[in-house]
Amino acid sequence: MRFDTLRIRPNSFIKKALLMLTTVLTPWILMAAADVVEPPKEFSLANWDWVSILTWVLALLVILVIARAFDIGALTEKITGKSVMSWNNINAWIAIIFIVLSLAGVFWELKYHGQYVLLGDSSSLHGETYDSMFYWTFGFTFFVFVVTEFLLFYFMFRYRYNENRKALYYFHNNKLEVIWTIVPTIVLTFLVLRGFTTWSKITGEVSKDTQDIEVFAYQFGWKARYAGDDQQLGNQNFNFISGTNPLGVAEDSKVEELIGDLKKEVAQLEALQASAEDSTKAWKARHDRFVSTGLHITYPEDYKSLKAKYTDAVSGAYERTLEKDIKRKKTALNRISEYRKDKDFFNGAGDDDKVTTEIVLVKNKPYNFKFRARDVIHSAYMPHFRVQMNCVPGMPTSFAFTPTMTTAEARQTKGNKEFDYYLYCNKICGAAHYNMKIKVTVVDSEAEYNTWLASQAPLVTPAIAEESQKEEKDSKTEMGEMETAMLTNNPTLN
Amino acid sequence: MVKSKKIKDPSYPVAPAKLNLWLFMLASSMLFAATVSAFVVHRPDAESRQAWTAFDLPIFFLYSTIIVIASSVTAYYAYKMAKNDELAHNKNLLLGTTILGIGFCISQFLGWQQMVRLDLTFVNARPEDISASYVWVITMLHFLHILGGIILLIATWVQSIRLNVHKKNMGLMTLTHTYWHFVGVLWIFLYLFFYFAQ
Amino acid sequence: MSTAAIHADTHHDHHEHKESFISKYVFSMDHKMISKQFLITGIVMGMVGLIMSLIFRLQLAWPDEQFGFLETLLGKWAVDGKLDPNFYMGLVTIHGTIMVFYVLTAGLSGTFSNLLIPLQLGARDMASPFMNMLSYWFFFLSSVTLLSSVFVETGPASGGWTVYPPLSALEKAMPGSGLGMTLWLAAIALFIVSSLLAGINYISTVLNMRTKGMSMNRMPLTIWAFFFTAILGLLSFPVLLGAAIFLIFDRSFGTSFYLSDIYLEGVGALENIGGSPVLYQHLFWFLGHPEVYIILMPALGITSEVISTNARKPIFGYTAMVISLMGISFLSFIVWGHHMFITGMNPFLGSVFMILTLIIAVPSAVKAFNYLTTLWKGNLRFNPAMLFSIGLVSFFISGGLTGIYLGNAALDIQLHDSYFVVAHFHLVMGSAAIFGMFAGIYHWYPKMFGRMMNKTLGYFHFWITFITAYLVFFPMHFMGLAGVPRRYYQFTLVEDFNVWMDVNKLITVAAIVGGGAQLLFLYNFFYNIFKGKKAKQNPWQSNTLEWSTPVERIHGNWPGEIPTVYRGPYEYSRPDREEDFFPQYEPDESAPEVLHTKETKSAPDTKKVEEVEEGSVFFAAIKRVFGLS
Repeated sequence: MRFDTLRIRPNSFIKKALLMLTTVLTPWILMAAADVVEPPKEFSLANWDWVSILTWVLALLVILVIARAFDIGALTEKITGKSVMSWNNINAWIAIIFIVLSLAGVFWELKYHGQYVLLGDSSSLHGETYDSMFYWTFGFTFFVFVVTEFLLFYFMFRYRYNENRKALYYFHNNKLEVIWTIVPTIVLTFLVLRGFTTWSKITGEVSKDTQDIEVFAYQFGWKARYAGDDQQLGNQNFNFISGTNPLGVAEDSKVEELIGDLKKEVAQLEALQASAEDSTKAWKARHDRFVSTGLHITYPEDYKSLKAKYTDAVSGAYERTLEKDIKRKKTALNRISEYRKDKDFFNGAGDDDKVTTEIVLVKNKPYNFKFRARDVIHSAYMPHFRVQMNCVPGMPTSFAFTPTMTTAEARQTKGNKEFDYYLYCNKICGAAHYNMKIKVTVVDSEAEYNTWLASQAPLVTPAIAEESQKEEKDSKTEMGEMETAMLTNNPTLN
Repeated sequence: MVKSKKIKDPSYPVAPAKLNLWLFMLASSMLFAATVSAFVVHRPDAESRQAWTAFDLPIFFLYSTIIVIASSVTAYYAYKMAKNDELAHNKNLLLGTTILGIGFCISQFLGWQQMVRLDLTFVNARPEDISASYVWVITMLHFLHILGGIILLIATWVQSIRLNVHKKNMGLMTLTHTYWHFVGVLWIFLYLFFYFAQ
Repeated sequence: MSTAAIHADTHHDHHEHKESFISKYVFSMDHKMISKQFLITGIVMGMVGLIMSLIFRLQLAWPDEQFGFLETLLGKWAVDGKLDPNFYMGLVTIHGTIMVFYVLTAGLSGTFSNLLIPLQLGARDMASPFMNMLSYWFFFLSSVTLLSSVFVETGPASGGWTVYPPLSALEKAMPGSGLGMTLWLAAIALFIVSSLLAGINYISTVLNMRTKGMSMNRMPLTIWAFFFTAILGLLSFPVLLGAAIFLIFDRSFGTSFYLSDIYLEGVGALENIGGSPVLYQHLFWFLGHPEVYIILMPALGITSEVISTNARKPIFGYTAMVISLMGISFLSFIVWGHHMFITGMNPFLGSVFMILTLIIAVPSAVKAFNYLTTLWKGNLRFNPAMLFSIGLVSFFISGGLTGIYLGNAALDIQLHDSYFVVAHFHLVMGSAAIFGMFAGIYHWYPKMFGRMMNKTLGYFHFWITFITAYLVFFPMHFMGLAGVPRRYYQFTLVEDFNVWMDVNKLITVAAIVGGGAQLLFLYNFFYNIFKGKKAKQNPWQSNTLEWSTPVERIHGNWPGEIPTVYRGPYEYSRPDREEDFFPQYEPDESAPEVLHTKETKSAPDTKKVEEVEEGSVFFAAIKRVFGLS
């Protein structure tokens, strides 16, 4: 009696079989329908009115639900003569409708967005291994996804509450549990082994003929450094970074220039420090004058800034800032002079290095990108090449790869004449994180590359230096301004 | 609400406060494990260009170690005396432990002073003196634990004066005793670690 | 004499006194009240987090649009109705922090651990009610501190919820790294204190204060989950505290634990040298990964309980469930490196972490299959709690499967920090855990407030939330696979990402609808506290001990003696019983205990009976090995 409903009666069997069949087949039917109905050539939903579509869908759902509720409720009441909580059935029905529609949605999504998965074929050598690894994983997980999600909602529908039925008293089944421990284990072992080989291949030894390119990340942009004629990247250190030497290459003239600048700044700051007492007095006098004449009421804005300076001066914050700045600059000077003693460090290899604002690579040539970051952690991300590596201040990282598709070829396959490869920043690094990128061009021949490289000025030529100086000036941050403001606003200097 | 008759709840296998203390000690061991392993991870290997100062630990840290061992002994006897209902001894031993604990604090202060004299300061540490920064952070964290222990000791001592610590009321005494051993062992571990790992 | 006895005694002395308002509702030491406090604070924080997410979703969908109301709401952070990029980062960060720590850690496990551990185990209260109270108030303080960070002039902490230094350590690198970050750190420190106090209490109560007959293998799976969660928290939060302490020193005292080789525009070369930013990541993820399970496991525990009750069927594979929880807990401590495959970590280390990570998929798969089998041939009552539990299983499967991609070091190269990751964790730990929380609220609402929630509203709440959650997070997989990075303020500046504008709009619309559905919940929740239908003693006809307590809250939980437990928690639909449930606390001398199917009298299929019996031998063996009985 209790398990009556579990026994299969011919009448209900047909019904159930039909139901199962339709639920399983619906996605495919919908897909087929999508094939018959010619899909738009270019997928664009931009002009769809999403809000109204969603409203319609929702409204439809609500109507459906309510209708169904009345339907079932009325029917069962008629048959059994007593009212039944029909919400249970409604939920079961929604569940089965949901799974069918959403699996169809998943297939639909795969069909239309599938073309963007992994941005098409990879443009690098290791990318092919990567892609095959990816599709293996995709195959397994997608299969499991469809089967388990379907079962979940099917069970919801199939075993909805029936007061005449009692659930199966079923605590566990050893065999079953072993099976579904072992099977995932085997599949995962396969995936792990494959992943392991792919990973080792990608991160493995770098061959000797690989060309090194330094990729330098800063808030908010990228620069690249190519070796000059000597085929050798010069040493670098963050202490050497200056307006004319944005990457801090160990190059005699630039570093000497920086030393001079730093010394000058220190002298300037020390002069300020020496007159700090006077300036404090001056600020105090000015402040008192302001207050005593009642100007602080007439010009509250001016008074506010005056008051801030006055408090800084009186509380000693001004002096402390000066002291800190001097200390920092002196530390930098000390460090630089330590390095200057090391003749091997300043071996002249960096003099002809070329700092560029674009990366140009030759097809089928192995490269090793050496990453550096100037200020915070960035991440160099080139999705078309399946390349990503964090750029960490103080910790050099690298990624070796071989591009296999030129920009021109990529433009052709994508049918987009404007297309360019880019290297993006993919680690949160500040306000302009979203717009931190550098163009990567892959050319067909060494000759093209050489022409391009020849057009780039080496480090010591003043042309590029000026440009970067200008840029430097543009991107001066608040702190820089504050410092200059402090210098110019000092009353003892006016 | 129902009028409560004399309800006898089952007694618990372990006193909850004691179990809580053990769990707390587990958690704070994790804190030290984390900071100590940060030290280990941070220490550069031979080929690295990074600077890293190795220095002799201040002699006062050794004295601290001796003091902490001595105080552990007194704490143990205080516990034993309480168990044997020898209240006067218990009281004196507790006081002794407290004094030794304070002595430990003083010795730590002297040790830190010695570090400052060696120019191994915490706040304005030279870059390669991160090793010293670690010593500062970890010893100060330990110092906080010691302070907690001293408060416990004083509380127990006060209870002991009020004759509240005896064979049938060992709750607080057990806690204090356990915790004090914990901070003691922790210090010995830290000392040995810094001694050998530098 | 043990202090425990003192506690128990004092309770009895107290519970006839009239409690004052303060001691009843504010500084309450009653675990049930504390659980309500956690829940309501969690809900409030959740709403704040949700609204934040809607604001930045607006920005992502319509980057060029001007929303006047944003300026009204945010002032200088949305001049002319355009969100400021710095504040966008702040919103992302605070949204993440709130959701991870405040809603899904404290709001979920704080609420239900507090409510259920004493009630389901048969204890008068927590091991230390005072610590419990402190735990809540530290949490409250921490919430206030975190929210206050939104209102400081330089903006809230905005380096992402992981707050990687140097970005978070240098005030000059980003305005949010100023006072906002300081407050963030203070809030997290308070939060750690709170969760340690709570965790110590949970573990100690579970180990120590079970009622007579409640052996470990009769504990409901909820308790097992809370127990492992508490252990994870106890072992991993101190490590985060260590990381935070170093960060505080780096920020405020000039040390360089995490800083090295930094040149800041306008400042020049910094003094700091020799630190290692990656060290922070190691310390952070040593907490961060267990944290994921701290979030998820209570939800899984609640689901087990709710599914079993509403399927009127014993949970399938109780032991396997416990062992898989144990396995997940253990493994979660040794896989943190999978968040760091591309930080320049040694590749060999990367492969070790990859192998360990993928092992986690096995216990997770076992759990998913066990849920499915529990539903199979059940008699499912679709109470809202049940629907949310099934929703959890669905999210757990779809989000968990993508973990297989991300745990693979090779595949992570492309997918790291892309929208694929966003989709993955929002499904598997965000949506899944929040659904577990909803399931818990709908299920234990009668226990908490003595009244019932409206079912119909619950159904609408479920279906709208469920569908919109999928609409929001499912398309993100495709965006991530196409290389769209996360934490971007807008995508219009990059040609490649422009194709996703319509999807972004869809996601935002779905998010708004889903957010709106939560209003149904809020109404349902708060209205019924006062006006709801009075609850019956055991409204879901559940087996566990909490339903034997009186509907009206009393101090000490049971008016008389604490009931004794006679059997496991999942004896539903026993063939030898008329009723389809058999409470743990119901003595039945005539029927000797049939613990976990030693006999199944009138099962329909004889073959199955054999298997079941065969299985019970294994079960007994496992029990002996793990000392469960």
